[in-house]
Amino acid sequence: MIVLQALSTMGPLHSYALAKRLEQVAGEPFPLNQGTLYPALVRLEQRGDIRGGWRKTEHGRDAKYYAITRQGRRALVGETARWRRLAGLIERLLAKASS
Amino acid sequence: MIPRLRRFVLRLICAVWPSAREADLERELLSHVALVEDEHRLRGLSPEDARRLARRGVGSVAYAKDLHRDARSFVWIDDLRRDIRYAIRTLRRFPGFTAVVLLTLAIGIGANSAIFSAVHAVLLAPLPYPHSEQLVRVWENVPGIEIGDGKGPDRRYPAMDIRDLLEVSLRAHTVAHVANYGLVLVTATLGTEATRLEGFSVSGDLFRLVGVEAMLGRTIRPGDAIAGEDRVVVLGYDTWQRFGGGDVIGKEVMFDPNGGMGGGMTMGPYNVIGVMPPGFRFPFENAQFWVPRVQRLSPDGRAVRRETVARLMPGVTVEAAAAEFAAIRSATRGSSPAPGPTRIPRYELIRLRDELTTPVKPALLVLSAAVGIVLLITCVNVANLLLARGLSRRHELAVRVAIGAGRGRLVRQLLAESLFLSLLGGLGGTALAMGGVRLFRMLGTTLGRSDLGNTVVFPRLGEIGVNGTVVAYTAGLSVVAGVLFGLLPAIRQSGVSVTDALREKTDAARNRLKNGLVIAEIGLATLLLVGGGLLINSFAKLATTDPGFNPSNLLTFQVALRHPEEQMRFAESFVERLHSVPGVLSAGYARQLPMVSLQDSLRLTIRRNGVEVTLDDSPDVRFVSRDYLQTIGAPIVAGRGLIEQDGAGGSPVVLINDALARRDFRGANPIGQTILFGPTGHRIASQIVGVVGNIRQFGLDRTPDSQYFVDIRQVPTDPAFRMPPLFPVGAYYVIRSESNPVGVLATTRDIVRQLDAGAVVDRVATMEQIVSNSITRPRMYAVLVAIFSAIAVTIAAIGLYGVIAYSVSQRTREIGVRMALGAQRRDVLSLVLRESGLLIVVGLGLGLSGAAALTQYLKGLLFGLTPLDPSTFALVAIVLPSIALAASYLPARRASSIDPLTALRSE
Repeated sequence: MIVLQALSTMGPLHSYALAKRLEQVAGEPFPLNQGTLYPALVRLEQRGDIRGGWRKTEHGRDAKYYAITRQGRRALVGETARWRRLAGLIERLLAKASS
Repeated sequence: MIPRLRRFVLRLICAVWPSAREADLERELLSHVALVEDEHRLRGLSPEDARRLARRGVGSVAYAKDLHRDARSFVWIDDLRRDIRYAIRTLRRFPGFTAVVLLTLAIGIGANSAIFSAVHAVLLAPLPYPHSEQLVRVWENVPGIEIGDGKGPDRRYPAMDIRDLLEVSLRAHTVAHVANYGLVLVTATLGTEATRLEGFSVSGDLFRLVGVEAMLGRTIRPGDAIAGEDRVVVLGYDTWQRFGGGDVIGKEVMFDPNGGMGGGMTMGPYNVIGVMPPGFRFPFENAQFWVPRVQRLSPDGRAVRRETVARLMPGVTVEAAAAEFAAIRSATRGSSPAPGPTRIPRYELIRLRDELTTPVKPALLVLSAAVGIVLLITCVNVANLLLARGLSRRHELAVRVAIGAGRGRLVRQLLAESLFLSLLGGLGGTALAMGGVRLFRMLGTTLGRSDLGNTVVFPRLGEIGVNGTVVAYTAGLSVVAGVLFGLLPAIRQSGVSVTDALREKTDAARNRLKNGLVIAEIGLATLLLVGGGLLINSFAKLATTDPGFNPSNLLTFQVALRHPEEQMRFAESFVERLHSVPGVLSAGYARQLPMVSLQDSLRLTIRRNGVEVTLDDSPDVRFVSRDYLQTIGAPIVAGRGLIEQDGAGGSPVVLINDALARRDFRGANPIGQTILFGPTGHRIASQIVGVVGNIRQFGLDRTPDSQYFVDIRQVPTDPAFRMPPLFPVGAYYVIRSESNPVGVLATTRDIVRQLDAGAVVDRVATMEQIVSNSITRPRMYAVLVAIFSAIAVTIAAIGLYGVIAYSVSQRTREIGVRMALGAQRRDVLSLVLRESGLLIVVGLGLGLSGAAALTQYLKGLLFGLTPLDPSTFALVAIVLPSIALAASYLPARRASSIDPLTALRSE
């Protein structure tokens, strides 16, 4: 979900840029090494939520850029709503428990 | 939903074709590292530092790759692929071992495959007609009161009265169709091609009952079974081919009985209306054409019975239909069944499938058991071989355990190896099975003539083949076999503790296991060998039974004449001409040949010393030409044979056979005595002039009955004498030639053509073929089980060799020590042989006792032997140990030639 959000906001990114962006947004050192990122990317790609393509960076290097697809945007909306619902529910439960 | 499905499919594709994705990932990771490197350089680091930092920062590339792989495909498929590749590498390392294992697996699995083909085609697959389970044959139980003079016993006919059939077809709700048929034997001429054919005259509903469409034209309809519309014929596929194929609809076929069985069929020209597809042979294998038959009731109200079949309505039981038949019968005939103690149902309906397959079911089960035992032996053997070879892989496995492979993972890998082996073996087995099926069909093929009685040894033989079901079964069996022989070694080998393996401890328990397995193999092989020995012995006894005549160089055939009433005149001049053909030693003719199922008995009265005694059971009567008995080589044991003078005008003479002489003339000399036969008021008094040796007329396994022989010229033709018809299926001719009997065939055909231009020579066979044909079934079983036992013994011998060889290699040091202490080569040899001898004896003992318990199931297949035949058991007790000892001799010899110094130094 986070990956989709990042791609949706920033537009197409390659994997390194994506990792940096996620670290940036999270603020604290984000324990995201390539181990977690790449499997997530391939999962999203196989589902069809993102699409990967090889392009050249501004420095002329080849890199694989990922872009969010229309289906991905739809998924993002759904996932976000679900997450918000879940978070709200947990909040309420915790509030109940402590009162 | 869609994204998930999409992912699943892509994962599957990646699992099977990983290379493309792999390359892409590699490229992406490299690019990632490069990008990080670039950034570091921008910040001012040197190129080398940048690179080093980048690599460290990115983390373990291999780890990333692994996780990526796991995410993008299915782990177990990847593992499987890796296991298989590993298995192939391992197998390549031991090529000899692999070859032996694959070969034994192919043979073991292949044999099972072949037998399953037969079981499937005969017992499991439905008959090749739509909803064939609904097809039944109608049997009628007729109480004796209704038959003839009413004093005879109750009878059971595989047939139904036409009147009842007509009523049932109108009124019954439990059957959709009911139809009858009758065998017809005729000469058919299409254009210029004339040939003898066997076919059936059928009621109008038969083809609708069967439900198979014609390949060309149409089949017979109920509208054809009406007088005036019934001159139509449907040809079988082979018949159509025999007439040259092509466009045959509408052409005219001329039917003549020519001495065959008209079966009530009107002779003359018929129009071809259709051709059936290849392989269609209803109701029997010998159906070559079909004509409609108008159902005609007997004018004097007698019952007319014809073989009848019916198709049940869906879901109806045979009992319900039979009950309805009986109800309809009593309703229409007005007869109320006597409510007596005999509750035999009037009708019995037997499913055609059961009728066909029940006779061979026991034999097929025996064959399946035999071949199952072979597979068991094979699996045990391979397991043993795997265990033995496993020792040399202990290092490798220990290393794998040391770097973290769990036991489950190891077992999975070893099992994958076993499955790979067994599936490969199964592939080879399928190929072998195709050859096996061909052998099976060859063994089961008969001459296929309806006059030779029980023609079909194995039903549905043509349907047996390696089809999709069989291949699936083979694959499944391979998997089962693979697990069977692979599990035990896998568990054993994966339970390797690292320290044990590296220290090479020997395992006594493992030895005991291997020895136990070999004993099991030997026992099973013994079991099979006993079974095979019994069947072979039985067949040999059967095949060498004296038939009572000399079948070698004897040609037999029939001649279908245009004018069958001239049969005897033709026969006489024909045989006379034959005598002057070079190469012909003798020729004759008769009403029926040995093995031909045609039998008539006439009441016989013996006048003994003036007292007339009528025999209780009527002996078999045979009408023969005067040279017939001499031609077939039946010995005259007393008196004389038939001569020229025993013709129409001469005083009536008769020959009796030895059985009749012994039974009814006990002690007294039958020559010169008189016998009387024929109905009261028209009896013929014949003088016995000779006694003939017993001829096995109906099969080598049936003891000869009483028979008497009358010269054909002396058979009275006056119907008042109520003699059986002279040549109901035409005369059979026999020619004894000096050498190859087929050599005179061409000349014979010429002579026939000269005497009667339109006659057809038919049913040509040598007597040896006919006799051999009569024992097709025992021969088939004997050959098959013999092959299986040979395979079993070979595999068991290989197993024994392997175990002994391994044991020797384990005991090398011990042997070295013994020899150093003074043991001779002889002593070492006997040491090893004693070890193998123990295994053999135990295995043999178990096998023989098992055989003693199980061979009773073979009783029905044996001739002249008991299931516990001592000579067979004794033979096996000698042959098996000899082979086994021979197998263990090689490693024993190698043991005895061990150089003690090398042995002591090697460990």
